[in-house]
Amino acid sequence: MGSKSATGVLIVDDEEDMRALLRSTIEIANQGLHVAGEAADGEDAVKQWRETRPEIVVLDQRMPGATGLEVAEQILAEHPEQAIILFSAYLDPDIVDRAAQLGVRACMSKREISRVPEALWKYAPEP
Amino acid sequence: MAATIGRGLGAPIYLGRVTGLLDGAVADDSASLARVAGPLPSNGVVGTIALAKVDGTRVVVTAEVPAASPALAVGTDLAAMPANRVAFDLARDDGTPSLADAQRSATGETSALIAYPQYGSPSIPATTEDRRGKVQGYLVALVTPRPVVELSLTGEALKTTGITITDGPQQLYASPAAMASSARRSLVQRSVPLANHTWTVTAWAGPGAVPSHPPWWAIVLAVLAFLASGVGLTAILRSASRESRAREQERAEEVRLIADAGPLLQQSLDLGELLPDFAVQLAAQFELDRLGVAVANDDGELVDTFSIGPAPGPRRLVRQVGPTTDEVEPGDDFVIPLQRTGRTVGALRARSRRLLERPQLASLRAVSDLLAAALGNAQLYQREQETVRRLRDLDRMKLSFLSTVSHELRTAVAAIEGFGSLLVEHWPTLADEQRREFIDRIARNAGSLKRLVDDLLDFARLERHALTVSPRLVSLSDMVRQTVEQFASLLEQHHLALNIKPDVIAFTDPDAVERILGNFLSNAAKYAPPDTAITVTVEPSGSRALLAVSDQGPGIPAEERTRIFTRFYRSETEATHRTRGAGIGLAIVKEFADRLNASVAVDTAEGGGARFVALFPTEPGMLAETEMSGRAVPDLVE
Repeated sequence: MGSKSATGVLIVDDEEDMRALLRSTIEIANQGLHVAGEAADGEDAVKQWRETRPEIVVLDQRMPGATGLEVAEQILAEHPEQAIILFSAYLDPDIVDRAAQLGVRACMSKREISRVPEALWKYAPEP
Repeated sequence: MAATIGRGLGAPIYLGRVTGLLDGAVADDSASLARVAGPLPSNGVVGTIALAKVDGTRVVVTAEVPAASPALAVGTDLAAMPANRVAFDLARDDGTPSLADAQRSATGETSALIAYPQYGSPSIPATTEDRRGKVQGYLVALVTPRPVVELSLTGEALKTTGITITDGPQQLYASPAAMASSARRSLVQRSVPLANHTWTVTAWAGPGAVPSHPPWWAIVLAVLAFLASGVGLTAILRSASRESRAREQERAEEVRLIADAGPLLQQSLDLGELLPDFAVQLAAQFELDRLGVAVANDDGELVDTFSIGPAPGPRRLVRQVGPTTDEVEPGDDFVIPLQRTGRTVGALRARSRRLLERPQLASLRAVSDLLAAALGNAQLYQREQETVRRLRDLDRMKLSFLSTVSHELRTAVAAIEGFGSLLVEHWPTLADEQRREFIDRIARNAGSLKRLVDDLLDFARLERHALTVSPRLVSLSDMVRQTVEQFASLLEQHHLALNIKPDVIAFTDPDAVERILGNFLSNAAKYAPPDTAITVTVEPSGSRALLAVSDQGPGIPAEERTRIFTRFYRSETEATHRTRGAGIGLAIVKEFADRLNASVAVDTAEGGGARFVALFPTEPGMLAETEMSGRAVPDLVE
C-alpha cells in the first residue's frame, strides 16, 4: 500500500455537505489517499486540476455551470490518462454511456459513498 | 297606327344601337361608321349621324353617314357653336347623351344635336375627372322633329291638326294647321324627356277636324311622345346596357378576386402575411381610398390591426353596412362587422371614392365573411399554439421539477446516510469534534429533507384542492419568534437579526405562517452569502400585520418578482443555479397567502438583497391587500 501513499484526490461537488462527506471518508480511510483540493464548480475544478495535478478526480455530474461530463471532457482533452470517477446522485444510462465514451474510469452513485476509497485505490494510476 | 308606332320606335333604338356597337371607340372614316350604322331610320328623325373627335377644344367631324351631308360635314368643328359646346361638355362630364338647344339650319329645318360621349373603352370612367381626361369623341346625330310628324300623319290629318313641339320657349316645329289657326279645341299636351331636355308636344283639333273617341291627334301625340321619349329612353337603355356590361365585367373581377382570395384567406393561419397584399387588391378593385381591419381583443374591444390609406377624421360619421344597405355614397366612411357564429370577431372599415351599390356591398360583405372566417381560424390557431406552448413549458418545468426534487432528495439522503455510516463504523476512532460535525450535518440535511417533503405534501394537497387553513387571531410576534428558533440550524452560517415589535396581532393560521416564514428563511439562507445578515421583521403596517425577511444576497430581478411565486418556476439567475430548490416553495407560500387573505411580494432590501414580505389581516373579513408596492411597504421599495 505504501506505493499509493501519494494518491491525491480532487473533489468536485457543488454541495458543501457532499464535499465534506467525501473528504471525511477519504481522510478516515487514510490508506495512501489524501485530498489534494476541493472545487464547487467546473471552472474552479479545471483550475485546481491544472494546479494540483491530482492522481484522481471525483466529479459530481450535476453542478451549476459546466456539468461533470463537460469538465471531464475538458480535462481528458488535455490529459487523456487522467483518472476520473463520476460521482452523482442520479446516474441515467445516457450519462454512463457518455462517460464511458469520454474515458471516465467509473461512475458511482452517491449512495455508494462507503465504496469510494476502494474505487479510488482501484482506479488510481500506478506511481 | 301600329305601323306608325313601329316606325317611330325604329329611330331612337337605332341611335342607341350604334353607340353600343361603337363600344366607346371613335371611328376615323365614314365607311367604317356606315358599316356600323347600317341604314338610317326611315322616319327621318335622325337624318345624319357622325363621329366627331376631340381635338383640344375642338370637336371635329371625322366620319359621317350619309357621306357629304351638309349638316355634319367632315372637318366641321361642332364645338364652335356655343349650344353644341354646352351639350358636349355635359355629355362628357356625365357620361350620358346630351341634347343641344335646337337650331335652325340654312334650309329652315330645326334640329337639335344629340351627343353620345365615347371614351375609347366599353365602360364609362368612374369620376368626372377621369371622364374629362379620357373622352375621345362623340357619336352625334341631328334630331329633327318635322319628318317624324309629317311622315307619321296623313296629309288630311296634318291639315286639320294643330301640332307644335317646343323646347321651353323655343318652338321646334309647328304644323301648317297650327300656324293657320289660333283656336285650340280638344287640346292635348305631353312632356317628353329627351336626354337632358324636355320637349313639349301639343296637339289640338284644328279647323275641319272631326272629333272622335279617342281623339286621333291624341293617339298621334302618344306616338310622338313615345317616339321622342324613345330617343332618350333608348339612349339611356343602351347606355345602361353598356354600363351593365361594364358592371358585369366589374362583378366578374370582384368575384374572381374573392374566389382567388377565399382559399388563401381560409387556409392561411398567418393573416399578418396575407392581409396587406389582399387589402391592396381589394382597395384597387372597389376604389377604396381607406381600408382597415380591426380585430376584437379578449375584452371584445376592436383594435386596429391593419390599415391602408388615411385614418378617418375623429368626427366622421361611420355607416354600418348590413344586408339591407342599398348604397354607400362616395367619401362616406363605412364599417362592415366581421361576424362568426353570431359573435363579432372584428370589423372591416373603409371609405370608397365611388358610389357603392348593392352588388358591390354584397361583394364586400362576402369578403368580410371570408375575413371573419380567416380571423377566427387564425385566432383559434394562435390560441392553440399558446396552449401548446404553455403545456410544453409546464411539461418542461415539471420534468425539471421531478429531476430537481429527485436530486434534492438523493443528495440529502446520501449526506445523512454517508455521515451516519461514518459515525456507525468509525465511532470509536472519531474525535468529539468530528462526531459533532457529522451529527450537525445529518440534522441540517434532515431539516432540508423535512422542508422538501413538507413542500411536496403541501403541493400534493394543493393539486387535489385540499390545502386548507384555519385562521384565528394570534400574536404574530410570538409565533415568529418561536418559528425562527426552529430554523436555527438552517441559519447558523448567517447573522440572524430580529426586529420583532411586541404584540403584533394577525388573523391567520399558525401552521401556514410557519410554512411561509420557513420558505422565506430557507430562501434567504440559500441565496445570501455566509456571514451576512438575515433580518426578520414583524410590525404593524397600516391596518395589517407585516412579516418580512430581508437578506444581503443578490436580490431578485424586478422582472422575475411576480413569476417566482409561480409553480415550478426557478429564476434564471446564476444564484439560483448555485442553490438547491424544487421551485414549489414560493408557489405554496402564495397559495397559503391567498387562502388567508394575506399578500406576499418580494422587493429590494436595504443594501440590495431580497426582501420577502407577507401582509396579514388583523381581523376577520379583511380582504387581501392588492397594492403592496409603494403603499404598505413604502420605505424599502426601490
